[in-house]
Amino acid sequence: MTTGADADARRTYDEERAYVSAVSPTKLVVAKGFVPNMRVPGEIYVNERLRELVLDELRAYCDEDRRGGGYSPAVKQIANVAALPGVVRASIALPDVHSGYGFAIGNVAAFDCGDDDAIVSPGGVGFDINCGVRLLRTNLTEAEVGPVKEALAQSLFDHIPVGVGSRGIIPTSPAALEAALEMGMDWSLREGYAWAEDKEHTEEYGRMLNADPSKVSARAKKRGLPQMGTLGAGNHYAEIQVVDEIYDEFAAKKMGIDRVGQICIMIHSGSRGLGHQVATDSLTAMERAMERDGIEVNDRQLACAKISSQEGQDYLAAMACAANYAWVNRSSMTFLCRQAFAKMFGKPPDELDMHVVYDVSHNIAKFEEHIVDGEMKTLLVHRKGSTRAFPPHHPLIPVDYQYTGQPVLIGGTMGTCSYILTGTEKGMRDTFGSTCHGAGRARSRNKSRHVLQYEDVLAKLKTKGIAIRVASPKLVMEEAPESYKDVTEVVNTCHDAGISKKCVKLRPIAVVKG
Amino acid sequence: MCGACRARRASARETTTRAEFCAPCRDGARATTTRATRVADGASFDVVVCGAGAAGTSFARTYLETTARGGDGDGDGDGDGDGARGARLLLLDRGGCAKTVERVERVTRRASVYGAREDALGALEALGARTATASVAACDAESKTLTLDDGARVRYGALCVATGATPRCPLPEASDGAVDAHEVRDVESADALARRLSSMTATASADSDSKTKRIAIAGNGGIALELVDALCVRGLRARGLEACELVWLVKHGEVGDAFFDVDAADFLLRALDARRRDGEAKDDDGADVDWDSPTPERGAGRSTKKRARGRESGAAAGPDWLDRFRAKSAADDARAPLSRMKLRVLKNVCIREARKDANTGVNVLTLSDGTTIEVDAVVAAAGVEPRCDWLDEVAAPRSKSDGGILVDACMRTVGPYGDSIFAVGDACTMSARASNPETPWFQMRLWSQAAQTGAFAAKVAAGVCDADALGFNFEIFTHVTRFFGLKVILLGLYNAQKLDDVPANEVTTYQRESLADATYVRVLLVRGRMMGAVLVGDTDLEETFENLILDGVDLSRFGPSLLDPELDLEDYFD
Repeated sequence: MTTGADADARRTYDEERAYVSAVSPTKLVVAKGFVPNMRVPGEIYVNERLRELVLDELRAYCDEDRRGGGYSPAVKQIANVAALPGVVRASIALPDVHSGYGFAIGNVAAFDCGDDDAIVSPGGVGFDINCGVRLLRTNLTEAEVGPVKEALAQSLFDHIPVGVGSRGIIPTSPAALEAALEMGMDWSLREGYAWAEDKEHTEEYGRMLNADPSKVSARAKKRGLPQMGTLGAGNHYAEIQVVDEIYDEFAAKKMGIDRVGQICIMIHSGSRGLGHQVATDSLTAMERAMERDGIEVNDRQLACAKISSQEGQDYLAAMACAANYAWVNRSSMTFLCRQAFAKMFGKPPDELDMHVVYDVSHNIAKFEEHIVDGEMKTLLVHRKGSTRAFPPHHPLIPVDYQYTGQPVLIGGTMGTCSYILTGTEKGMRDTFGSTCHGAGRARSRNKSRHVLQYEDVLAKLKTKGIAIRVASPKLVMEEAPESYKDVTEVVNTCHDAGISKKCVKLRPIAVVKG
Repeated sequence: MCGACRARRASARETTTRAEFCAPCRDGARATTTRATRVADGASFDVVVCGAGAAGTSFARTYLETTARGGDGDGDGDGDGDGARGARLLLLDRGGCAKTVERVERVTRRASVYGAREDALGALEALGARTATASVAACDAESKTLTLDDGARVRYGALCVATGATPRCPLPEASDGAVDAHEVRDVESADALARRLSSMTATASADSDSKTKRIAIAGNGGIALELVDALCVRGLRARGLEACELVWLVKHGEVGDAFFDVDAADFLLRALDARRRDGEAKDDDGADVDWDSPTPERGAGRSTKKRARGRESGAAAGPDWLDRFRAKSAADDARAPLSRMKLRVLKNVCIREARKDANTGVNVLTLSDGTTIEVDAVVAAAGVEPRCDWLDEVAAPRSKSDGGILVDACMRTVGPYGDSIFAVGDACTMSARASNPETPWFQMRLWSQAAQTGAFAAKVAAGVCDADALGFNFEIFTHVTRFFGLKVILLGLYNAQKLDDVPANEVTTYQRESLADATYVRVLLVRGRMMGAVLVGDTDLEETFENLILDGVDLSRFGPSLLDPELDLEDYFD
């Protein structure tokens, strides 16, 4: 099933490095041959500093001592994707790339639906299906919100559904879940949690039409029900933000953002446990399908199935449900934010102009039309940790943004700045209309390996009161400096490469974390 | 806790001093003060809930909400329509307070920090419940009739047994009954202990010549850890506290044994010690307490010479009882400096004999190692035993291992009256749920599980939920708490619970710790699949780990690098 996973194991860093060349100040190309069976090259968008981080990771990987860490560096993962059946033009990495399950986070890959062998891979979408960011604007200013921001954050926190079972503010039942999976934001609209205008400003109008709840396992639904309308922990958050800088006044005005100091709300959330289960279920099913159909991949984590196969179709239908679920989640939280603001400022949300600026998806696969080698083709575009960024005049973006290009929302790591970008023609040509999604972990294993030491200890565990001892390697960390790829650097690289354009910079003043 | 709450359950020694009302009292004041708390003889209810603890209250609330909405399911034939509200459910409790468990902080999908909030029983009446201050004298399961202690007979459609548990007594059977023993189980007993403590510290501060006041606490679970934390680590605003000593009797070799294995417990103590040393210089919040550490055991020196950072920062988490306890024991003088009791930890001991000296009024404990100590009071915190003796064993069969009422996967009792008698919370034993070796869940008598079982059983009783119920399940054990100021999250089979039959070579654990930022992580894998984890401190890994445990993804290729902070699992599995 997997071939040549370690065929190149003995190459030195210099030998590996020879496959990677800089073709422009913002782009690296990974030549065929870097990993077995590459059908197209890999392309990585980086600036000078980010380039060093990518190569450092490769260097560390080549260092014998550190082999066997169980994961491949991002650049290897990009190349492995370039070896998948049906992939076209290039496997593309954005500046915030870092390694993930199978596909790197920050990878875009498109598969030709006209090619019978073309595949769909859950690893190319990610576990948190349709994890994404939504931005609400307000007509409030920092001067008005600043003094009450703690109370507002607390109020937002209080509005997030709490309680066992369906005791949340937004009641859920199995029947409601089924409907939400099928209808996405149409469900939110019907139930009164969303405004009609919200749909207009959401990718796919907040509903994937090929969603089929019968393809979502009972276990996935079970995991999803209690989480409907919840934020999630980890890297998910809701932030009250202030417009810090406007780079493109025309585009910003179209988005209803017209002055520095204006208050916005950013919601970052996804499909949570339901998405995880959909992904896990399909990975298992696809491993079997691969054996049956003789699909060979470089990494077992790249489990995939032909788009036309039952497994492929089932996954797409279930993924669409998870995507719908994520939109319902963000809509529910939008509703809660509007309520909290309305309560605080004593005005209805529409008087506070609390419209959705836009809602983007980070982890999703979609059928799209793109020109490849001068020919219009229908492609299944996998975006994992990357954002669709369609240019002005594209038929799939809302009327309001026809002259500006699609808004792209970039959430910083919690507490850092966030950005609004717009899509460009160049991006449409070069990256299947995609750009970065946020900050990324700057993993430089080379530099920090000295702070880790492994110590063999015997952990004493108790089962039924009897203690057993199990060998338990222990990592003793000295303070490992957190290093993130700075969101500003990531955004600037995309801007310089021309695949998206900076529009607005936002800075957080209060954060609510689930 | 406002004055009204206090007055409602006031003991003779208490006087209400605060004029402010807390929200439940304000809201429920008119309703509750006028309402009779007796039930008419011969009354009949759809559901009678016995016990207004976390489980019973959760049952009552969920049942009322579920049936009131009416849209979710129509299994309960007769409860429809607004007219029937108020007559459907009867909640019985001997005390006058219901303990509502609230989700204070959602940590992951299922793991939440729970806190217990007290409501007057009357607060539930707003939802349509009848409540009564009574206990059950007899139960006739055949005719579905309860006889209450005031003689009233009540008919039920379904009975929910939520009478909780009683603390296990650490004193030997033969002990003189006169020993001053306290327990911390519910609000009432916590208050009693707080009062005892207040009077003790008052004496100690008034009479500096008197000899050291001493309390012994026996037990090694959550209550003991929290009490030690409150009295000896965080401290109370009470005068005279530093003149008192807490003797912690632990029958195991390590503290916190009910929750932790050696390594995790060891980390907790070292982290505490490190924090204490860090905070020493800037800590001006408390009296300079001299900690003595007479105990010779390994690690004990560290554990006794502890003083956490002056005050815990951030919002209170974990069961509220401790805050209430702190408020009560220190209410006399809010401006008193924060002070802490001395702590002595005695490991590997239990109480062999206890008696009260008739002349001096001092309790004398003889320990299993032959030594004797004199104490002013003993606190029992050595676990609980289900409290259900009022119910016939034939009607509701018991577990042989812990005496709880056996329930099936839907919280129905396993006897002949499964359709009409449910048991929830501490009173029940969920062997049907816990026995599945594939499921990383097991029963532990915790606030959080009490609330979950109550809500689940209510949905079953309301006919909107079955064993595979959407929206609720017991798929993964989660417990979130805070010990010594550190967040502690236990996920799945974190201590290899239920894994006796798995060969040791198929079980792998990895640990990582950092004293600098006070985090400890240990995961347990079986054949490469994550089955459980212990997280101490702010690791931000709980959601990812919960997902990985439920996903069952094979993680063997990562080896120990699974915990490498550079791998950033959270992103990797995004």
